[in-house]
Amino acid sequence: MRALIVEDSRLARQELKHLLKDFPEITLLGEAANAEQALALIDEHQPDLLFLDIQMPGKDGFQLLEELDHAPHVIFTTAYDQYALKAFDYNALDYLQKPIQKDRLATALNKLAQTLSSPATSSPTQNPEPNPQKPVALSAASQVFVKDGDHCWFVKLADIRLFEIDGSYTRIHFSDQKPMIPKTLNQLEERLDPAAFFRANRQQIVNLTAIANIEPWFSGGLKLTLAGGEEVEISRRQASKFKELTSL
Amino acid sequence: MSATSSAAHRTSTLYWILQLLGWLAYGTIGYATNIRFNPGVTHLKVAALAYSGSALLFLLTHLLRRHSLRHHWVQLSFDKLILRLAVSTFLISTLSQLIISALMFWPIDVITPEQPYSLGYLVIYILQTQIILLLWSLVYFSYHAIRNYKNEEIEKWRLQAAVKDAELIALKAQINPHFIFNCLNNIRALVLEDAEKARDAITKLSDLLRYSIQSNQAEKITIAEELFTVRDYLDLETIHMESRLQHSITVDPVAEEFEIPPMAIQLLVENAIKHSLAKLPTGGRIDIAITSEPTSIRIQVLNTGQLAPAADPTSTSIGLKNIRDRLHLLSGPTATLTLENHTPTQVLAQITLPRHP
Repeated sequence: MRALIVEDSRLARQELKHLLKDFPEITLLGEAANAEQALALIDEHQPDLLFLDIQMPGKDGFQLLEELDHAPHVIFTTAYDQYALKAFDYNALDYLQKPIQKDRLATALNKLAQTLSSPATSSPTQNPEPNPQKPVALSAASQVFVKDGDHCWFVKLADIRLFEIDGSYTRIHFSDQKPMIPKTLNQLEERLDPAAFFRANRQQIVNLTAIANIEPWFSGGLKLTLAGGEEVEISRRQASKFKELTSL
Repeated sequence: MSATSSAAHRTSTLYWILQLLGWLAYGTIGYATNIRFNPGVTHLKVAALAYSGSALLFLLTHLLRRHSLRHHWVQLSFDKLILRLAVSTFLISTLSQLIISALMFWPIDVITPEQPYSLGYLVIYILQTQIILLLWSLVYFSYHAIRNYKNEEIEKWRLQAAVKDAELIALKAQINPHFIFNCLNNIRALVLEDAEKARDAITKLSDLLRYSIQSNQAEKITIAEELFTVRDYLDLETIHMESRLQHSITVDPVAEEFEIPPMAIQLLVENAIKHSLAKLPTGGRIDIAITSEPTSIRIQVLNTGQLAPAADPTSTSIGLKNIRDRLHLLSGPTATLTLENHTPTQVLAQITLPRHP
């Protein structure tokens, strides 16, 4: 596993590097002292894993993740942060409290190795990455980091049923959650795989695999019902495109 | 105490009004119905019987109330209360009806050959009176039960608020836990890198923790003592932030023996680092200057950064309010604490204390 350390304190980076010496499966690609350095390194190396401190000068760990289109796996490291820990417990995101116990680190890495080797992570729609240096379109198996208020999630694109304009943000629907992300629908459309996600109208993008029902609608349009019960109307113009895309 | 007794007084007034009106109404109803059913008896006699009956019940229920108050019936469990009420109301209704029966023979004398005295009526009257008494008990005891419940709720809230206050005060006088754990983590790395420096850091952290724990008890401390702690704190923060933190402390020897609330300067320095310096990728400076003037002592903490636009300089943020309150307690109302943007890149926190409070 190729990993990056993002941590503002030099000594804390030393400490983590020292701990990681006992885990030969981790290859350290580099270390960053703040979010700006981290963004450059992530862009350059596309790591599999980030050890990420939450409180940092400038942008914090969450803000860093929100800027990434494609979030790597993350193990948060934090000294003491009640609010962040609350968000993690809500979602069972992995975090380690500093000073880090070696056993806890081993558990977190094992858990991650299991996730990576389980078949659930490779979705049928996933393209074999042709060029890992520059993934242009996001695959359905890509995960994005989402933070809304006190809660945060890593969401696989394949699990998102619907993207919907909400003011100047986009609301995403997955499982029983619908948080907002600070991106416009057009920005998202550019990055999404057109074979998996369809722009149904000006307001909504749907995940084609999440469609539960299709029925004809007024003036040659279509009405979709998604697995989560959301209803989406497709205009006549888009309906022909939709049929083209979904028929053999 | 006065609030409680005036509330009790109000309750007692309410009781007397209801007790009087209630039994007066009972007597009147008894009078009105008996006129109809006993056409052979004079109005005066019916009235005398009805009102003496209600007067009797007025007296007996009052005695019941006095007894229940003396024996704290309101605090009894539900079944115990019901049992006591059933027995006592039965005794009262029987007693009162026996007395009324006696009155019917003498002196009111309503027994005629057409309407002879009947034991059946006595039983019916006893049952009827018992129902009325049970209603009386229902009103009286449910009123008190509800009032007690409300008082208990209020008391519970008051206790909860007191606990919160205490927690808040304890919280504000403590060293930031985030700092403590970062510090321990840094020391763990230092052990490998520079053992001597690590030993030194452990001593400083110990002194700092001890001071923070003890400061919860002490009311005042000399500026010199407070500065020992501030130096330890800044040294430990420098281990964490390294070149991102520069600092200086200058102090007028005259001011050193002056007394301040413990943790006052420490909290200003902690705030400066937490809210300004720690957020700047390139870090900055913190300069502490303590000067003595003819009538006052001035403590200035100047740091790189800017107050967040939302934060009002006279803000009542809890930490500052806590320092301000303690300053006023110790040095009187002329002591001040201000926090403002000094220049576009600097924040100044300033405490001014009168030299002769």
